[in-house]
Amino acid sequence: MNHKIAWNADFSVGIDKLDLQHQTLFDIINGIPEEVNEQRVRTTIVRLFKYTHEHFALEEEEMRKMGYPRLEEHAKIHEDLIARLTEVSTLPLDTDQANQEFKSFAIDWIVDHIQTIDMDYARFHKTKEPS
Amino acid sequence: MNLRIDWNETYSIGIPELDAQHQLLFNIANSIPETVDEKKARTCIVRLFKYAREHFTAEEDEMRRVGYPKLDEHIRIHDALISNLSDVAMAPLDTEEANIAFKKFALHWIVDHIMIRDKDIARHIAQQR
Ligand SMILES: [Fe+2]
Ligand SMILES: [Fe+2]
Ligand SMILES: [Fe+2]
Repeated sequence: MNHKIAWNADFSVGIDKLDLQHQTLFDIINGIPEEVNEQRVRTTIVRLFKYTHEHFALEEEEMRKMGYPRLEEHAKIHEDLIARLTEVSTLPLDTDQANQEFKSFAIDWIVDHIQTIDMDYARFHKTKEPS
Repeated sequence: MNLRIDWNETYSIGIPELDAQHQLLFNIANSIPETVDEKKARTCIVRLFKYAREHFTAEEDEMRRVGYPKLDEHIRIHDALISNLSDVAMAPLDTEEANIAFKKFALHWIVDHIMIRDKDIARHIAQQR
């Protein structure tokens, strides 16, 4: 099995630096091992938390700048996303299957985040942009 | 060795909610294993990231609320702290020495943050009174 997620224009939120960060998150998630490898999985999870933190911080800053009205709600969703990632990241990863399940979760987690909540500020951003 | 730091009054910054979060961060760092235990180390690290983020967010909200003048600088420090933690947390933890070194780092990481940076917020609030 080789789970991978490729970024494409459907994922674009229309703000270059945020798109770039989403691509970095995809790359990190693609690097989650599909076999037991505690040291590598830890390294990958640490990177995932670090970039997620940076990404959410920048996203919140951008939303503040554009006057996005649902900023608080979106920030709360970010905290929930971190909570879910934490829960799943602390499960035992002592079988290949557990690693694969973790990777599938992470892929769904990022896709879901972009397609449901990020697309909402993307739409808002578009209406504010002079065309 | 049994490294641990328990929160006490000297760490207080006078804001109960933030003090409680600092205590929780100490508890997590105290539970970092001093023997090789990848699974347990991973759990501690993940929790450290989660609660550090929640804490930094709450602290930033509080600084905004009290009109703390060095907010931007403090936010940058929080981001740098997350970076430092990630760098160290990615090193191999395949010996007891490595685990102990990581635990020492995590404990100092919290203490430095509170004693040097957060105490300044407390001073600002005291001056406002
Ligand atoms: Fe996003
Ligand atoms: Fe703090
Ligand atoms: Fe702080």
